[in-house]
Amino acid sequence: MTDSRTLRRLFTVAGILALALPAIVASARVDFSIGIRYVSPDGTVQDCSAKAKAALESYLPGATESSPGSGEWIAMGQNILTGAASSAAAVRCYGLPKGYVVTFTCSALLPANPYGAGPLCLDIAHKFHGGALTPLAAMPTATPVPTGCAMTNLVGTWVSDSDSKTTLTMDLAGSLTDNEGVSGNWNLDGTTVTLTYYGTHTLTLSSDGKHIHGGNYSFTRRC
Amino acid sequence: MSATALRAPAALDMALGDRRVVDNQPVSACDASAKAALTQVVSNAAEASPGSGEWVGYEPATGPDGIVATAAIHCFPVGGGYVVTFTCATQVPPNPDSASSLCGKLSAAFGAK
Repeated sequence: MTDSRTLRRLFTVAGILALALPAIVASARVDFSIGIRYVSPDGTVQDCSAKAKAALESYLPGATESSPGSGEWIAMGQNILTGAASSAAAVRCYGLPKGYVVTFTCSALLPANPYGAGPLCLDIAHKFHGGALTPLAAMPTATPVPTGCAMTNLVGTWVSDSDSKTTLTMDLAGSLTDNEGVSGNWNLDGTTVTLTYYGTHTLTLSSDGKHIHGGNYSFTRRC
Repeated sequence: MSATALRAPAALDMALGDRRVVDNQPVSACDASAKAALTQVVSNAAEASPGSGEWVGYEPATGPDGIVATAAIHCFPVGGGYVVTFTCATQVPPNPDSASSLCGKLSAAFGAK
């Protein structure tokens, strides 16, 4: 038999409904989770807010309240590799004559985010009221930018041998940008370089990884 | 001038929409308005579980990006009325509406019913 003091401390779980909606469409990119709602028979909106902020910030940085005292909290997470927001959660508290009701809603951009909205919402809700927590997949970390004149990539800054003002900056994703902001792409297969830049050009990477030559192009890498 | 077309990385946008308290109406009225608003704005609506008062809708995929906009409307009985909240998420780009804009449309559609 549960004593009344314990009862008072515990939240009434009015309904853990669907923890996450079933996959609505297999190709869904925005994953959305609703349906976790708790009714607390005691406590204030301020109590709810404090727990909401703490629960959100256990998983996402910088929870904010939509307006002071509203009890409505939101936080966003960012994929470091893309530099764009890829996960978010909202915790909304509403005061009742006795206690409060709180809802949890989450979203995730897949596949940029390494975990779905359902696991995120479940962990935030459990953090809020003390349930079991399941570790979420780690957010990918930035890959170190290669340095030096590697033979495996063209990453770096290349200077035209015929005009030192003309440069191409090539990144790890296969993109290039010249000194005037014109963009293109690069590909390396063995020592064969394909530049998509004002048309498609085939060049050859030198054995020291420092020069590319071919057609009307000749560049030297700064390394 | 650009030699190739580069696409900006998609970002997730999420917004807390309105919260309204409606007196002297049953939560079933909220359910009906929620379903109608979602159907009008994002073309479909489903209740998380029967009688839960928790409604979700999404804009059907029209291209390779799959679902790019979703929204939830939560209805909860309070006293002789109910409280209703709107929460939205969009993928921008390609979705033309921000999450906040989507929630605004839903709130307007809810009230217009």
